[in-house]
Amino acid sequence: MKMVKANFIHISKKIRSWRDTFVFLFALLLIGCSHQSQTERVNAAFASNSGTDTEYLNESYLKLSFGPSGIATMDRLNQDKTQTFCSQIAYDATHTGMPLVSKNTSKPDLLFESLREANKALIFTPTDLVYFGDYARGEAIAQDGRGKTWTDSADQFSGGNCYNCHQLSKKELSFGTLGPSLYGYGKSRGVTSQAIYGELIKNPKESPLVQYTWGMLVNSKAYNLCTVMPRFGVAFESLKGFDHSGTKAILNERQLQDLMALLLDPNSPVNRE
Amino acid sequence: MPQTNTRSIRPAYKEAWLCFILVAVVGIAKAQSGSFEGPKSTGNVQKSEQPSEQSTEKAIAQYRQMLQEANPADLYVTKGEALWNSARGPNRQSLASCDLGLGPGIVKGAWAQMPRYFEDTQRVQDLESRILFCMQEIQGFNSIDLAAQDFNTPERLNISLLAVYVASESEGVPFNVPMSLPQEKEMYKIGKKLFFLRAGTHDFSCSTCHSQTGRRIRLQDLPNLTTHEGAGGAYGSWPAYRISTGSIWTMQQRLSDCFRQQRFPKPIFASPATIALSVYMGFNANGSVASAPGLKR
Amino acid sequence: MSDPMRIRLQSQAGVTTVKVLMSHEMESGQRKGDDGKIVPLWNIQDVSATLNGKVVMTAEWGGGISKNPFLQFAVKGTKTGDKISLTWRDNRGDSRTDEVIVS
Repeated sequence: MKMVKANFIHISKKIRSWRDTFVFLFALLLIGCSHQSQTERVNAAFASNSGTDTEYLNESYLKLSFGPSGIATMDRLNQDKTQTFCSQIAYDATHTGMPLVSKNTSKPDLLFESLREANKALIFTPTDLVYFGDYARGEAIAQDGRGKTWTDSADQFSGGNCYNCHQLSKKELSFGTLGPSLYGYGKSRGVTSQAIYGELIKNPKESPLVQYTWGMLVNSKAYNLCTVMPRFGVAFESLKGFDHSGTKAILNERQLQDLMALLLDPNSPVNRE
Repeated sequence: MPQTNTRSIRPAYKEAWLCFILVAVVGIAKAQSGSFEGPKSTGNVQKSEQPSEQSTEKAIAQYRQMLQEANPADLYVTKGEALWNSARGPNRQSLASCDLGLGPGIVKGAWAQMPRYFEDTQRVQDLESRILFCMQEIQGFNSIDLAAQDFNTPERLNISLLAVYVASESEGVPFNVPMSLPQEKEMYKIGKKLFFLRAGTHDFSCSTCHSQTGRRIRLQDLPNLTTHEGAGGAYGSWPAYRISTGSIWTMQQRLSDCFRQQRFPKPIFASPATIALSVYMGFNANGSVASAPGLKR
Repeated sequence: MSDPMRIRLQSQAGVTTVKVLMSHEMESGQRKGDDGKIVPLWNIQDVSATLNGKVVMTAEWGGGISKNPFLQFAVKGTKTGDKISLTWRDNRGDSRTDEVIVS
């Protein structure tokens, strides 16, 4: 704080307007915050509990209990509207017994629908309408669970970690059951020959299957707002306005194309066995 | 068509039809009771996988039972007990007078009634935050510095040993996390809210993985922590010996690694939010018998 | 210097099942440490058990035995009051012996 004070005196001579003052004070605040060490953070966390815990779980409470580490910055705790909405209905559902991952829309809920539409708008069209890549790379992406944790580096490619929650190829027995099985995904939806697959590649916009599969990979919340499946292709900056240096979204366009091939290519291990 | 024996044939047909219907009903009922809840998959893949699923689960259960008799955590409990009773820290005192909620020095059954509100700190504290407090107050350690370290530093490893010892002294005791004071109720609410808080790059919350029964990640079964059974089995088995790391992990450490995989920022050791989560799980577990120290993969 | 073994006995009709949990790091000599260098081999190589001083079990262990190893075996012809003794010896020359009485 002594260093900051010296800078204040030096810089204050250069302030010429109220705007400059405001910007300067704001910068001070940012500098002050970023200089907070782990020990100071812990200090604050412990100090807050000297009284009774009457604060509800809000932003400042969270800031007392978490700290940045590696690429996992504190802004990750800022929820976007979808996250806030789905957190709330899950919290409420434990009282009502309603399913947690989907919402009963027999009565149209305006907020629910508008959030779904907002998510749908984030589904982009791939460059040159190329929806499909290489299924062997896709399988590697499905097996890979790295990326975006505080032990990962900023430029590390994320995996899709699909096997964490889904069955995919027949051979892989180590699969999770948080999501439905995707074994035979393309085959059971009529993509049974290279000719048919070729059609999907040539005319992807005309194929509801291609659009749905791509949509689910990019932003599953466009279909089921409160699904637990991450939004693999949505740029972080369009979610909350922060930017992770290194990668724009969890998966990039090429990775998404490779996953499309894994799911729909008849020769992919998902469909051929 | 000859009319002889009509009477003997008609009852037989009736019986045959009844048998057929019975078999059909039983067959359909058996087919419906698959091992997964939740949305149906495409094709018949899940059902054809079931026989190998069940034999995998059975084999895993057998393996776990064999290991249960040889839990290396026992070795660490002995070390933790020795640490508890040895004079350590700047004040060169043992933790023999530490009050875990049942009175100074009473360790037996203490963990089963934690987390709870403590008058001397005016805080709700869990196992590790209370041990940390005693280490500061009695032994003179600096709890702020300790909390700022990582789990694998020497003194933090000691806290894990102390924790596994204290928890083992509640083995077989039913959980009895108190929920009468406003502070305790507040922490439960906070813990529950955090449990369902979706955030981070992947929209994950604790509930993403831990709010449904019968699911798993890869081959790791996931307890449903919102239910009594799930919370009882899971919460009561930490601290545990983790075979993959060859070390004792406490609940604080388990929470920290969960948050890492959720792509959250890092929780501060023994911070209010982490205590709140233990309040939520612990109270949900009430009535279940504590089984710590557990044995995990 | 090393931690004690935890020995449990289950006796029935003159046969005692011995379950022993040993405390040992058991480095295989193939693992790389945080510094990138191989962590040197450090493991139990011989285990033996005696019943009232007479050797009833010997084992030679190689690289596949895990950290904090667990061993289970049965001894015939035991009666109450018998002394069962377990000894391990590692590649550094350290050894440890612990004893239990059949109840």
